[in-house]
Amino acid sequence: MPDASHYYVITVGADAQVSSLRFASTAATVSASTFEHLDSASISALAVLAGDAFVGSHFAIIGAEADVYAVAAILGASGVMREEMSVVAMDHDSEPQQGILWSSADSRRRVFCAHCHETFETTAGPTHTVLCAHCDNSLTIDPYFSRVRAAYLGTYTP
Amino acid sequence: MTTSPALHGPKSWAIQPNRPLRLTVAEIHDLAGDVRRMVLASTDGARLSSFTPGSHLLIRWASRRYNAYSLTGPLFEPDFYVIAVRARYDGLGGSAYVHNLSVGDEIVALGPRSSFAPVLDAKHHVLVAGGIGVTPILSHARSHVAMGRSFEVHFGTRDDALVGELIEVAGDAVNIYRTRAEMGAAIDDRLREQRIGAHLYLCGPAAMAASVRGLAQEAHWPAGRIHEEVFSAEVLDPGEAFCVELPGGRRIEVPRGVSMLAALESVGIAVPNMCRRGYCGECITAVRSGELVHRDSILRPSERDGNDRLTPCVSRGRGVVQIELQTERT
Repeated sequence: MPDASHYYVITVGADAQVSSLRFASTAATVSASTFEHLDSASISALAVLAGDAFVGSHFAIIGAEADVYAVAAILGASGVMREEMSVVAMDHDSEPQQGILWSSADSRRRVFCAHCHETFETTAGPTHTVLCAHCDNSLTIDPYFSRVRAAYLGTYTP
Repeated sequence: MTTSPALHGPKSWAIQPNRPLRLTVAEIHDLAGDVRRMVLASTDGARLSSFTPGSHLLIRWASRRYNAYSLTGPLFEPDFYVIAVRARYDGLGGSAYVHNLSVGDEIVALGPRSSFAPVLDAKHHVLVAGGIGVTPILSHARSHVAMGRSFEVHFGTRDDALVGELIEVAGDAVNIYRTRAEMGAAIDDRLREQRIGAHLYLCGPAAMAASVRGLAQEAHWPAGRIHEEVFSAEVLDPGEAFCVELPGGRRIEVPRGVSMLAALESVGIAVPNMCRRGYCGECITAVRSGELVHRDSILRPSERDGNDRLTPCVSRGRGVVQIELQTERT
């Protein structure tokens, strides 16, 4: 991890908490670290944490792909830059592409519905067809992933 | 054949940054520290375009020679442009040209051009200026006040030039320092107190900029939060002699203390250029092979890594550098 004056280690889910131990050893070498363990439902609370952080902080985010990019999007909206985050997705099975490890097709995945503009979670991979949880339209999951929305694009497929 | 009249002649509202602007000196104010503040009005009555904070005008001071001066006045649909220029007795002649102008004189300028814009989604802006480097900071402060953005200004200066104007614009947000030590200590504290989302903007002499950049790096500020305006007045190291090889195999020596651009011009090879100080990018030249010594402020690290272009106004080479005589614009 890059040098920082304060590390925030954010874990989502039980698997991530175990994995965070190796980050803890890095974080212990600086004077101050904060450990936050969350479940998927409490991710939005992070905006408060980011608002209190000082420039010079570094955020390590560990968990399932659907969760870590949701955390990164909330921190980003609070003013945290990409270079101030280390994102570790634990449920990937592929090689990094453009610096991102994509999760396998049977992982939980956030999908943005291009028809009703709501985001929902589903278990399916890119090119698969799912029903939107909000408007019930049939959507094809596009490989396009928005970091701002932390979601794949779901396009209407009649 | 008939053509639509609408296709002819510039529309009055069109922004045409490369069309020379004709400006008339409307007011001159000589300030402390050999700084001259100059108010410029449009000569032909054409509307002056609005500009981004931190923008500069390129003022022509000799044939094909331009100096960049930051715009310090109102930004939105301005009635006039304002610059502030410190006389430099060891400069190339740009500041002397400005200091010899009188009210009513006409000048030619290009721009405004933006090279030091604020990050508009920043939560807070920390503006740091040294000496005449306060000029782009003034337009940043003006814009932040107008838009209600959060900011603070730290200005180190030995004289009172532009101090009054800065305080008039930014009021309590301004901190003035008379010594480098006093400024360094205050900025060190402020950098460690900034919440996530703050951005730092620096403009001033190289030593001051390096010192503040160092403080920010010690406080673990990432590079993406640090923004620097090139302060053009620094004199570059003369460098070592090297040789340029043209596509046909012709070789041109570039002696120590002479720029590659000047060496090419001296043998009649014209390379489009503008600032001649490594920040406008106008003279960027394609390179086929050779070891390059980059000294410009425009090429990104990824562009330097390609080893396929350089900025001949300031950058140099070692041994033999083979170039293409096609230039590219950024």
